[in-house]
Amino acid sequence: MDRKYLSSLNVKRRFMQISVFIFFFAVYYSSHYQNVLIGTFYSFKIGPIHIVDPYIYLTYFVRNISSPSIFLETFIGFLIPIVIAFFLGRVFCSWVCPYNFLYEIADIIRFRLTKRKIIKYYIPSSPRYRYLVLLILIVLGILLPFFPFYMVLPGLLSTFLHQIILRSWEFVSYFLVLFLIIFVVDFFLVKRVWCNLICPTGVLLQIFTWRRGLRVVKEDDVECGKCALCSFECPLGLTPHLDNHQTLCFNCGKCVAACERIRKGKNPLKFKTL
Amino acid sequence: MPIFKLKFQRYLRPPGALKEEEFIKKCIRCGKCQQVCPYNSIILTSWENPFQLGLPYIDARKKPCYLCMKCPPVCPTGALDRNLKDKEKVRMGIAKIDKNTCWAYQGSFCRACYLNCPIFDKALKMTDELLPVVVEEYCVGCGVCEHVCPVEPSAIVVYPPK
Amino acid sequence: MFYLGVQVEVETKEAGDEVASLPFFSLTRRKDNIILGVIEIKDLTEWRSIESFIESIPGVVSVTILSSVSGE
Repeated sequence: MDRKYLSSLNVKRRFMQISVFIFFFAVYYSSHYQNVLIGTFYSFKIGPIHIVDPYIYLTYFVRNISSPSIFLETFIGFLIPIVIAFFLGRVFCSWVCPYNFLYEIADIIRFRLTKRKIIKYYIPSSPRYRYLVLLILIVLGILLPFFPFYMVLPGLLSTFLHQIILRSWEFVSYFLVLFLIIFVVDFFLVKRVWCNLICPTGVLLQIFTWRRGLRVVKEDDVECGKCALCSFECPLGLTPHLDNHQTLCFNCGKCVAACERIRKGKNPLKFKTL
Repeated sequence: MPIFKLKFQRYLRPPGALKEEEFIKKCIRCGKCQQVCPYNSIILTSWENPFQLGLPYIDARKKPCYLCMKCPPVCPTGALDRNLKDKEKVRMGIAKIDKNTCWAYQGSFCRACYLNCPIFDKALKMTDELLPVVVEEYCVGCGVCEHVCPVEPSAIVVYPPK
Repeated sequence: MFYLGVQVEVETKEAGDEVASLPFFSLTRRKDNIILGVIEIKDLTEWRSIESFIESIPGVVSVTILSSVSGE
């Protein structure tokens, strides 16, 4: 991938994030006039095709396991994000997820105000902790029927948006409180704990990522200058120069662009498929 | 805000909903039925019953269901039966008239529920041209009658099925 | 607070004129012997008094409620 493509990759990513945001507004406002596009991040419908959040589908499946009919359409809706994640990794998180978008904007604001860039984010010491959290969340989702609804932040944000448009202030206040609790802990206390440890959608997408799909690799035969600029740029605080970022990386491409910029073509960090 | 007041009341669900226990298991609270409803009749539960968070219901007195049948096809999990297209086959609930508060039974000439019933002259009939009577066989439970009743609280109320 | 859609049936034109000019009656449409309009009321007792008042006007046959809308 050439230099110009990579440095504009972040621009393209921002454009995609903003477009998705505007897209969901447009869907809500047009929901009475058209039948083709309808839904939220919990579940979206394009014509006859449904897309369902993987964590929501999993809890739904487990809760209905004794039931005679589990629809094929819902299952296909579950497969679509899984197949995309299989080949492209956790691109949903960095290119689409509205919570990540808000977090990144908040990070930029914090940087502008405090003139300091955060480089130390929370990273779990083992990927097993994420699986444990996922297991706990699935069990909670079975025991407490209202539970899964809270834990899918993209879905929560988009429903929250819809209730604002509908002016149902009771619902809005309920979710505002919940969202602010999560955000305050995630942004000020244990930074990126949501994305790196808790988010069940993120963990599921990562579980189904193919080891040879799209990913950021550090090539051994190209010399690494040990500048750690990649780590500085990473929104999740990962350390690609130590080559231990694979289970958490969400393919935003900022580290690769930074490495490219510094090493001018002889960069060890690259995107790779297959 | 009545945050901790848990009401064990039964809620009126959107048309095509499965039996209550099945519905609660199948509904993934995606909110698409609410999005597609052209009358904004569907409400998602929040503070009023935290254990049912996100589940769609209809408050017939506030805004009834007008049986446009746009919501069953968009439900991704089949919590609303997507094959239901006939408004007569809907079974959201049954309306019941309280004869003690209904103005027609007190001597006034009121035909509000009868005239506004979408299953006109079948689900609600005026006996002797004066007294409204619900024909349970045909009543779909949409709640339009409850919405237009001039009595406060409404003399005709839709009860969800047991 | 309720807005009632009412239908008043009259026998004579004078009765119709009188009903239409009542201060609490918002005339919507008038055709031959049928007058349609909106009356704002609070509760049953208020309706009873309005109903009996209109029915006491000579020439009025009946007052029927067609529909109601909550004022909130």
